[in-house]
Amino acid sequence: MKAVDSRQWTVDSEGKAKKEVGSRQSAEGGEEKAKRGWWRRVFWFQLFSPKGFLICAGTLAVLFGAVHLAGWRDYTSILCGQAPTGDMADRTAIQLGMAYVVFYIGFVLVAPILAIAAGVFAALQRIRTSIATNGHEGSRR
Amino acid sequence: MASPQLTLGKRFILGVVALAIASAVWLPMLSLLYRSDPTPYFRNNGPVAPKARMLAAYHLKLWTDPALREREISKMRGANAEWDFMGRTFLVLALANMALREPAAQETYLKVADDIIDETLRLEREKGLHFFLMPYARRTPFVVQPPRSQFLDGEIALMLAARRAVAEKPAYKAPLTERVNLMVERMQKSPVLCAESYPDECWTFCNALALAAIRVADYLDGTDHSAFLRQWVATAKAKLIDLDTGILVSSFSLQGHHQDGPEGSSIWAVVHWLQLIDEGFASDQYRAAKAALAGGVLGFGYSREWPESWRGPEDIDSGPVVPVLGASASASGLAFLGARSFGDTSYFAALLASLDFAGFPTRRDGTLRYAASNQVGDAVVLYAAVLGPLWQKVKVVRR
Repeated sequence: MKAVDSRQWTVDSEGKAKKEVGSRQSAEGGEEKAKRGWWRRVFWFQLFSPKGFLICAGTLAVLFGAVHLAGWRDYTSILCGQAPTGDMADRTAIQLGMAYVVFYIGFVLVAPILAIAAGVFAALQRIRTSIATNGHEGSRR
Repeated sequence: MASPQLTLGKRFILGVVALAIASAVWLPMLSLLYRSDPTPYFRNNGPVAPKARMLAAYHLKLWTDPALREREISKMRGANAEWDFMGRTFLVLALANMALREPAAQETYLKVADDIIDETLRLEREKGLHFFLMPYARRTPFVVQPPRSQFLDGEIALMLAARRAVAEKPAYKAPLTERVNLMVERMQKSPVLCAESYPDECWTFCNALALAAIRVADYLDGTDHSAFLRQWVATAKAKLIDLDTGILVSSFSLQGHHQDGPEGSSIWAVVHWLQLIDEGFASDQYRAAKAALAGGVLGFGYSREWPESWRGPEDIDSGPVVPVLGASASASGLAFLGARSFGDTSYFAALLASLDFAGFPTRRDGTLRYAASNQVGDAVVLYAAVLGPLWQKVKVVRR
């Protein structure tokens, strides 16, 4: 019996301890989560703005410029099935080629869309604000 | 600029709407940036067009700079020894056409063509037929003995014939006659009049090319294989056509059992070779290939490797295949050849837009090459850009 009690006690004690730790963790986790959530909201809030779009477009352009100047274009022969250095086991060269393609697509496809979208976004915001302002003034009258 | 009243959710919606509008504006404009006038690439008559000249300059440099050539060739051979060989064939054909277009520069072009031919013959002689074949050629013996590959015989014969069609070179006469006789003899051993490129594996590409070589040899030496050529076309129409698309299949056994179905990396070149054999059949094949394989997205042209009706594997011939579209780099590269052969300028221009968009053109010291391609790919584009005079000469003038 003793042994059983002791086991129960141990189990209970561990269970409690775990619960205590768990509740401490959840309290700390909650704060962290709240912090992360706040940052995430700020991040998305900033990203989903005309300025955020322009910054993204600029970043893509700079990244592409960097890989272009680094000469990674010469590694893109992987697109036709030929290893850039002739050695199919040379994974670095293959990865440089693939990275160049990704940054190129980012520059010619995504960056211009983001830049145009920044202008459209600003215009849409202005339209929405003026509608909201007019509506508010109208209801006050 | 940001409105303080906007919640994150509303901002998100506005952002998505802005991105959708921007995409609708930019994507259709994109091809306009890359879609340019194709005339700098080709001319129907007269001297070589400026961009084709820049492409040619890179290849001429390769064959005058042994270190550069060694580097390029070893890169290709690392992936596929066939590319090394085919790169030579397409370049010699391009040089022959350039020599006919520019008689003043004939000596320069023929010198390089001769260097390529001589080195190719030497390598075949010293290293054997497997040197330019993929390793699986050794797995089983060729059905027709002694072993020979129609891939090598056809392309070497066509190189010799093309060179001689520009200006006679007596040293190449006997080797050409010997190859032609060997090819015809071996083709006649098959019920579909085709010889093996690999053990019990015949390719329409290689056999149609061999027919073109035979036809040029007839023009040069006054021989007459016209009955054989007619018989080949009749047999191909009866036994080598894919029923779903009406396109010639790409590979089959010596007995004529289909192995691979219609393939973009095969048919676009086949129609070009067949122009010398049966213009009507070649035109029908081009139309069928265009219907089943040619595609375009936002003004960018491409060719599928396989038609919708055929599911084939992604292999060394197709290269990487773009999911959903089924577009392949090899098929799209060879589609240049088909489009130019049949004067399909709009398809040529659409392919060119894709090449400029995704081929990564690299211009250095007056040369042009495509970084996403390789020597054989660039040689195909060069040949497509300059072709015309050689076929015209053989078709029009009969000795």
